[in-house]
Amino acid sequence: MEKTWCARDAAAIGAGVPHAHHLFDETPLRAWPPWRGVLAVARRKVKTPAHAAGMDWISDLPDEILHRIMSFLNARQAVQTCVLSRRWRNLWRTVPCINADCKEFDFFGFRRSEVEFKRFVNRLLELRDPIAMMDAFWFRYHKLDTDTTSSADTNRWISHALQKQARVLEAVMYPCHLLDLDHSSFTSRYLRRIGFSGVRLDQGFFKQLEAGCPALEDLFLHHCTIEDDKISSQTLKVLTIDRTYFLIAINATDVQKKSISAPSVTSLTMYSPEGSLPILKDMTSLVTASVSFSEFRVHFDANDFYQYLWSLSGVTNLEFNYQGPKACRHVSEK
Amino acid sequence: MAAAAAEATTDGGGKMIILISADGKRFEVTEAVASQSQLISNMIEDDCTENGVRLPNVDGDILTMVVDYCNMHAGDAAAAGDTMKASSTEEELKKFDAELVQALENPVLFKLILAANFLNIKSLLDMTCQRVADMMSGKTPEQMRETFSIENDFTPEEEAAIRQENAWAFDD
Repeated sequence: MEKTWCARDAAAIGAGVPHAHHLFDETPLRAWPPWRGVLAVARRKVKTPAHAAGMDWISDLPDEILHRIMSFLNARQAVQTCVLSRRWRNLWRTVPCINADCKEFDFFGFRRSEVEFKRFVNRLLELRDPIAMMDAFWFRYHKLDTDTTSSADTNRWISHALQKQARVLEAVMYPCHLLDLDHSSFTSRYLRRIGFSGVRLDQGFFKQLEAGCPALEDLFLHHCTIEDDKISSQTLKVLTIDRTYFLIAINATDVQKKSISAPSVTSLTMYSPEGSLPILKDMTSLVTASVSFSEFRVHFDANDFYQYLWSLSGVTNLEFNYQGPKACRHVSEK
Repeated sequence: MAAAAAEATTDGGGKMIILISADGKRFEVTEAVASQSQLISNMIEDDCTENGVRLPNVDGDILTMVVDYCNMHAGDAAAAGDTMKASSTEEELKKFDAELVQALENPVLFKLILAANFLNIKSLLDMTCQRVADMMSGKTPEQMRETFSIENDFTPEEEAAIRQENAWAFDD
């Protein structure tokens, strides 16, 4: 069973500790009573013979395990292991999970850290073993430039990760500027999970995802801007949209309604959407939904509201939070 | 300890399996507990656990910890239906896991990693690998060498050349 995202994870993705643990398949944690004495054994320190403690055990581990360990490190440290010894010389070139964090370059100063970070990721991707595939690519980046060159770099990284068959892609932008995503590179039979924070999803993004990423099951959006009118997917199972702005597009005659149509989604989290409330269409598999919105942040009319509730009627586990003065009036008017 | 665990699981019902460590220690566990190991799960499917499962590269000390871990994390259908049994919360499990890895010293930690890898218990493997990564995190290469007794077999010139080549990843 995969770890599923929830609204609380927003803090995690925002705070940006690389969570390599959810990149690997996990055995579900299930409850069981602690057997008498079990904890006592766990607490007991296992005695180590003096000679064994001074031995280099880690370097004897097979590459596969060292890669797993290095997948939990930030990318800069993973590369730095190259000077440890001959055994470690080239291990970083084939580490399957990359956690690149611009915070690692903060000591250069705010403005230069961006340049150094970009240089680092560019070099890393360039010098990785060209045959090595990628399992997960996570990066966090505060984009200062308003021009599109910054986005060009990050878009190239994403495209590279997808070409290397990454199953998990997570991009966290500091909230100063949104990343302007180039959706044309989203063609991958392997991509299973996307986590975006601070990304602008332009017109056509979701159409491209639907056509180009047939394995996508988990989409997590946090502080994003959605310009696209239709979120539509046949494959998504877990959809989390946290404090995301749905751009209000106004044509000559009417306000263009956003819609979400994802018939395979079993778990939906919609936390405090902003802009225009998307209409839920065709959400027939929903089992769990956590929905929270405030009338002060999102635009909708009474019909939208009923439609919204109607779409959630088949849910067995519902958490619903609503904030706003108009709700009661709408109901009585009807 | 192992005997106590075996008795307790017998009370819980379910088919029992004997695991035999490299040094001949025997552990009796339920199929549900043992199935957390993908290796053993496959053996159960293939019906070849009748005479006990010999694990020639896992010591008794290490297997004790693995069995403890699996007992804590097991959840078979019977346990799920029994509210009395499903009493250990996620928090208790987290505490158990944290205490388990914190108590480990260098060689035992690596033996446990190898056992988790061999037995193919992903959650235990991830937890122990995460522990090693935590021990590396924030350290300079020199400090890493010290922590894990890694011998630097580069000549000073070679090391300088590698640092130069990968200067983009170092401070200078």
